[in-house]
Amino acid sequence: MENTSNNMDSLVINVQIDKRLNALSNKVLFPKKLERANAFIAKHGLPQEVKEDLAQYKSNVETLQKALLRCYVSEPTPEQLAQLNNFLIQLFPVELEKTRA
Amino acid sequence: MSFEQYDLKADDIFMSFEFVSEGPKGKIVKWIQYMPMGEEGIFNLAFGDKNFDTGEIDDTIVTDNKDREKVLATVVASVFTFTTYYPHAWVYIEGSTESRTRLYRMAISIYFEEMAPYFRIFGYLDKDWVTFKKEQNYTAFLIKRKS
Repeated sequence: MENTSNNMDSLVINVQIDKRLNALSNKVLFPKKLERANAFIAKHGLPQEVKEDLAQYKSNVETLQKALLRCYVSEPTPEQLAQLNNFLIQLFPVELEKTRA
Repeated sequence: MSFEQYDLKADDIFMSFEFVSEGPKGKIVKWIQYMPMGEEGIFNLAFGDKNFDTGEIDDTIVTDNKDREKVLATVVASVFTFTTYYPHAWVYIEGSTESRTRLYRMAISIYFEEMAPYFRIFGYLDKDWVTFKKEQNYTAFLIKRKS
């Protein structure tokens, strides 16, 4: 079977879930390649833009964790819930869309 | 431009993919896997033939099944899918051989017009990371979906 798509969005829709592949999820299929990749980054570093982007992402995750904790230990204010919602949308856009559907 | 590609199957967290190349050499099972790297937020793309003996990917083998562009389109589709579900992930791509790295460069170049609106793409060239441009001989790549 073959697919022909005219734009990148349609490529995503054509992917099918195959639970047989879940067995691969926790297995590194090519460990030597991963070692080489880590060695390359360790030796050559990352672009400044990537470093800043990763730092921003880590900061967002930490803020999300704090927001979740606030909601867990006390009655959250509407503002806190709105902030939590915004972070969730940023971090998990596809998962939220699927959940809402 | 049309993208003739193989049916792509994924695990339910969209980190491992499988498709079957069909050509003069028969049916060959291909695996693609996105593996978390030491640096949090970066995932290594591994792609190659399924080695039934070891259960690992052999990304050095050259199968020459006369379907190179269709295979490349399928790998690009996996990048698009993975980054849809992990929009904050940077994907690191480096071939295990020079020819495999050229193959990845070819893939990005062929689909550059379609990818550019969606992706930030860096290439490693002459001891520095630079914004990807066609016709440059990069040794590695970093790709991320644009916000």
